[in-house]
Amino acid sequence: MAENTPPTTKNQTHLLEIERLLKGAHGQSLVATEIKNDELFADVAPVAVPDVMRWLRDDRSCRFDYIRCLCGVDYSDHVTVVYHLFATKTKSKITVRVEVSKESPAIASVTDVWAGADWLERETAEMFGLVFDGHPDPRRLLLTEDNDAMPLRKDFKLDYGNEQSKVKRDNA
Amino acid sequence: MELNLGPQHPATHGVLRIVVTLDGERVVKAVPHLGYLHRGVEKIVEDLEYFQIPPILDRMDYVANLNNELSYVMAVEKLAGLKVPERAEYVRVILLEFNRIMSHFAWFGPFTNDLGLFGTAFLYGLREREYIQRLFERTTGARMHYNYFTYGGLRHDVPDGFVEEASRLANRLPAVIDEFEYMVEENEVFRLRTIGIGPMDGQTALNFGASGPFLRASGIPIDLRKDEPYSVYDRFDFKVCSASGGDCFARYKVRMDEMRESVKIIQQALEQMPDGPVRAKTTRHIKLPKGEVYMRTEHARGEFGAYIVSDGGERPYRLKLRSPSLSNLMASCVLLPGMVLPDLIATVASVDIVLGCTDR
Repeated sequence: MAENTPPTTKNQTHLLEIERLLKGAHGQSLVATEIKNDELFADVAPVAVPDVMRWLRDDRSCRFDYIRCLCGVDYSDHVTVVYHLFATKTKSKITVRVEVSKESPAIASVTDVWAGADWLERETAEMFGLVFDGHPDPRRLLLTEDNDAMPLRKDFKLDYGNEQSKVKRDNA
Repeated sequence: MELNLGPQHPATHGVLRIVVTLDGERVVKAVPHLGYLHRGVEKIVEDLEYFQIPPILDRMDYVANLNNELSYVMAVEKLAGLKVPERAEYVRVILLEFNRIMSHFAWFGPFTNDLGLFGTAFLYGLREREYIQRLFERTTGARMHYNYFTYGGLRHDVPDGFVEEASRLANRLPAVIDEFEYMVEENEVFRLRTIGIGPMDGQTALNFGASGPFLRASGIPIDLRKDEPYSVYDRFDFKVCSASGGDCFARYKVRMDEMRESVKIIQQALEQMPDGPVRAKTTRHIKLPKGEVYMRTEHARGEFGAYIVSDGGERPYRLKLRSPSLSNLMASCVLLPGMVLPDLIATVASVDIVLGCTDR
């Protein structure tokens, strides 16, 4: 029973339906879509984020009214922001991936679509050095205000022990 | 007046700091500051092999540790295509539900403490937790940081007499939960300080990504054990507990009801538990195929998610951990303005946050 939900044809057809509608409504903003392991993935162009997200929440057959997770992944030449959405009525889920370039690391905030994106965006912003345009409160969440380290980027390396061994106890 | 609540304050349940602007006793503004317990878990795990990661996850939500491990090991199993032996699934469910009950006990005690019912219920809660903790100690070898689940099953089988001891504990629990209810529910102070305090409607809670007992107390019966059944949860008869009030009392009530359902699950699982191996054949140094998977489970506090991105190596390229405490805390913070200060304490306490989990 390691598999989560056994692939049901009903779920499959629903996902295919969503994929079809999404292509119809936002075909030009989609980079790619795929259905894998009974889940729907959609790669979306960064400029289309507000429109696509609002559509995903409001469209009658989608109704993705719940944001489970929002995070970034650093792929050396760009950062991908990943949104895991869930529809509480139909129990369907979708993963939306948006590539953001490191040169102009800006992406529209989705806090006005799902209020729950608020702190998740703040965390992603500080960890990857992104800017979420239109975020109502773009302070840092977990790091201190003067920390610009972008720790979850791949070029940030952890320095085990060495750093600590350098710090001698002043009074010792 | 500006009041600095925390980060070292007994009523914030960890190192949460809230800067509260007060007008008399009324809260005008409440700004939470997080990060005092930030250890960079998501960064550290990128340097670790898959089998080295569960001990770190134990240290996130340190009150319901096994629940943290589950999402992660299930995500690895899904990517690797591992099948977990039946017996291991049953042991997992039994321990997870005990863990949920322990966690709710550890919430119940301090919660009553925050409401001014100092002492009795607090110690009763911790005493009952202790009994279950002994079972865990015997089974996993540790009191807190169990490191017991591993991809493919369990680290080792349960000790002799596990079933007897577990069923003795489980059979005893309903009376204990009744006693807890008896202790506080007719108490004038408890009722005055919980009923109608910090109400949140279901739509707002949903919009904020709240989950678990916090969301169910607002009348939205979402429980991943039922909605997206994982492990062997689809084989048990239990109901999803929800309440309509959305206030502190509803959150208390949902947890109490939920514990009874957990006991039911444990009893059924103990009855059905088969013999057999507890670990699938797999190597310690596992390499996951390229891909990504998001696995979520119903943690004692809500939806705990583990998102693994694998580049085909023996370390995760990225491991994102979705913390239920973080989303629930975020949702509860919009409730705070307009309250009197003691209600702020009650509301934050009723959410049941663990800062190790919010800060990671």
